[in-house]
Amino acid sequence: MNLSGMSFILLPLMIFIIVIVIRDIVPFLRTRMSGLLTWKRSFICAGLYVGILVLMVPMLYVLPNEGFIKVSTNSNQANTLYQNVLNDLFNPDDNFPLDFYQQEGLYKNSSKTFKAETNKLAFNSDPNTNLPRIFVERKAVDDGEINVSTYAGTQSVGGIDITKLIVPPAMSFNKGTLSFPSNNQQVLNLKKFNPDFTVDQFKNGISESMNSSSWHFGFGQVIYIRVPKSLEIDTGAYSHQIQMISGKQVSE
Amino acid sequence: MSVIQCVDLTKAYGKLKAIDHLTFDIDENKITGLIGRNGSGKTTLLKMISGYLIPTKGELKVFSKKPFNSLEVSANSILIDDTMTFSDSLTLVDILKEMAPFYANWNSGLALGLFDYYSFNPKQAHSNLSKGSKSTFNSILGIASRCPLTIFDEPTIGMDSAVRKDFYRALLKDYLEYPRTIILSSHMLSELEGILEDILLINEGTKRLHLPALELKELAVGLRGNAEVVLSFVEGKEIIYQENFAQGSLYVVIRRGLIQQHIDQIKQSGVEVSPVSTDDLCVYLTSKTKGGIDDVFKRS
Amino acid sequence: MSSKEVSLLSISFKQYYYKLKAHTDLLNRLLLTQVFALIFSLLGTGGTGTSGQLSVTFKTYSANIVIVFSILWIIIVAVLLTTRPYKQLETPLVGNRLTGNLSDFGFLMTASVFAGITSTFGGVLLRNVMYFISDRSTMAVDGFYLTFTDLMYGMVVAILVLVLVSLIFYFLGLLVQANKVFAILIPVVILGTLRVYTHLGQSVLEFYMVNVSLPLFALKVIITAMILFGISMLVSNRMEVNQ
Repeated sequence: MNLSGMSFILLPLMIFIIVIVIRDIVPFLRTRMSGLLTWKRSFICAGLYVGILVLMVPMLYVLPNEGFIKVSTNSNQANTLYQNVLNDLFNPDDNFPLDFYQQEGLYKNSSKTFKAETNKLAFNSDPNTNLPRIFVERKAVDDGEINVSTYAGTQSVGGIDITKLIVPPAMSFNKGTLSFPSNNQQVLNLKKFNPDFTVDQFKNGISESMNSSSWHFGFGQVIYIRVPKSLEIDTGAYSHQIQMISGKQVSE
Repeated sequence: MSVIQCVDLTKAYGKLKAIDHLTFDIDENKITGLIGRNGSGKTTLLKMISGYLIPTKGELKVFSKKPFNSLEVSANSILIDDTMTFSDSLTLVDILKEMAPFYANWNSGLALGLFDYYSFNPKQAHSNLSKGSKSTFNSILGIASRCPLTIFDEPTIGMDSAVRKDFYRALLKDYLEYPRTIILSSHMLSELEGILEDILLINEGTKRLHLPALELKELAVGLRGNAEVVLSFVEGKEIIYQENFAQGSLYVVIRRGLIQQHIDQIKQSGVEVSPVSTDDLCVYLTSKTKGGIDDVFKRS
Repeated sequence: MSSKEVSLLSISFKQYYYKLKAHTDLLNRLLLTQVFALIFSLLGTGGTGTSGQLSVTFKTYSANIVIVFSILWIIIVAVLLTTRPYKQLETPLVGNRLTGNLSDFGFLMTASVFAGITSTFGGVLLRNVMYFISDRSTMAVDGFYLTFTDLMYGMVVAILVLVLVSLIFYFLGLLVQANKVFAILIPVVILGTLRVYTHLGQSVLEFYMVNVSLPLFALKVIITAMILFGISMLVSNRMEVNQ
């Protein structure tokens, strides 16, 4: 994880350019254009400028609040949750069966059902991609259906919960083989508005969490497969990624 | 009543004295010419009168107040010189409008009338004007402001002769209609003679003389003739200026009063008696040498 | 002609109105600066991080750049006002050192208010623009909508900061004009003091910039401003107008 601070070089450079503009180029332009920029015209320009800016304020309040992400104010809680999920997932205990459907800290981001034509299940993935952890559970019946769900662990960046934005892994099922072709790298451009430093000083408590740029990357995604009772499973080369679990009987 | 009172005024920059023990009074409602060579201290004096510089020693009072940093002196006086600057965001017409609130006696009609007469482009900026146009515009400001004390420092720089004539004419006309105290500093005394009432001649920071213009005209005479003859008449008397010409001829300038008694004698002896123009007289009175520049050539 | 009584205040006001018109070149520079700053602000500041299949760019947006550039602008303006070309503009008018100072202060106050308002509202403009041109599904709603109180707070603080900074630099500019020695002396003294008392700079900044309440900050600024007014007027009162 690398945080490149482009602003470190960019800001002094911008300051330098602005100072040059103010001191040298503008007077030069003025001598070319003097007589054109009378005080009346300058005032009109300034008036228009202020007018537009003032109109921006009611406009901001009128803009409908839709389409945004919320900042998770309980990022610490989310952090604890997924730590717990981590533990639970990788150290399942019969006393504490894992219930994927109601587990907090996990978010189901895709669900597919495949017909188990052959009664086998094999796995395949692109050699360049890391196969996510797979948990397989046998259903009580032989309904010939393989239910595959993918779950993403809680992830947040700068306080923004991005769990729901993560693209689930692509998968396809063909002739008894569940394939995971390589995903293109997903790029997320997150944006956040901070209060200006002028207001910031008065809001010390609240702004701390708002301005945090902490990055909580979760463990990625997990796949939960529910298979018919008598399906043959061939873990192949991925046996360390695949874990059999015996979940309790729950209805979808 | 004296508008300007100056007693033993000195302005020194380090060891250099721009004004050196200057004493004079200027009365109300007169046009005075401030005459002197370059570097004689004219501008320094005018700046002190206008309140821009502080005297080093001595006393200076304008309208009975010390002019430096004085709001009242500033409100009742105006200094027109070639260093007046205006922002480029103001057009010439804007300037005329902006000056009005500051000067109580400002006459807009006169200002605009003169402005149109000189065919200025109303939308132009002050810094774009040529030297002569600038002087012309500044002169409008000086006349239209109708300040009780109006000072012009070399107002005709760059003006062509037609414009100069117009300036003097306009100044005089408005002065007669609305009297005020005016000081004009210039080199071109010959042109100014027509409108000046008094002349204050300064040299090297001190007063050389302060007389009404008419008196100055009659102050000196020039004697030209045979060197020996001329010298015999002026022997022992203070000579203002002398110049040798070809064939033993000599030209001498001397105060009329000193030889007034012998004037007929002088004329009869074949010496030519001629008046001396105020212009020339001021040059002679402020020259460093008794001879002229020709001496330089004679020596070589 | 007899002399007329003139009041300091009325002349100062007249000079102030004159300067508002005469210094529109400075106003134009502010508009240009702020437009540049707004464009830069659209780039946002932040960094990138990668984890496995996920690459996240996290950018934050605010009007900070616009405010800082406006502060730089007013520093330049404050110093320029003390320099010869700008002081010369006063000579055709009626006035003395005091009216010149008062009208300059008036101008700086007006400039501060204008720049404070426009730079703070620039943040609003930023938000509005981003709303339309950017993908909102990756935009956090917190901090997007500004309460009116916050906006006013920000505006007032920005104005106060600009006032304070402009007066400080106006005073410094006057010192340099009074005696060129200060041009070297001031940076040397400041850097020297900061080196010896390294925390001084930080404590001064904290004194002004870290406040619990707005009225307290306003009070600090007003008192400092009055002190600076006073000594500026004292310094310039003895200065000649040299051309």
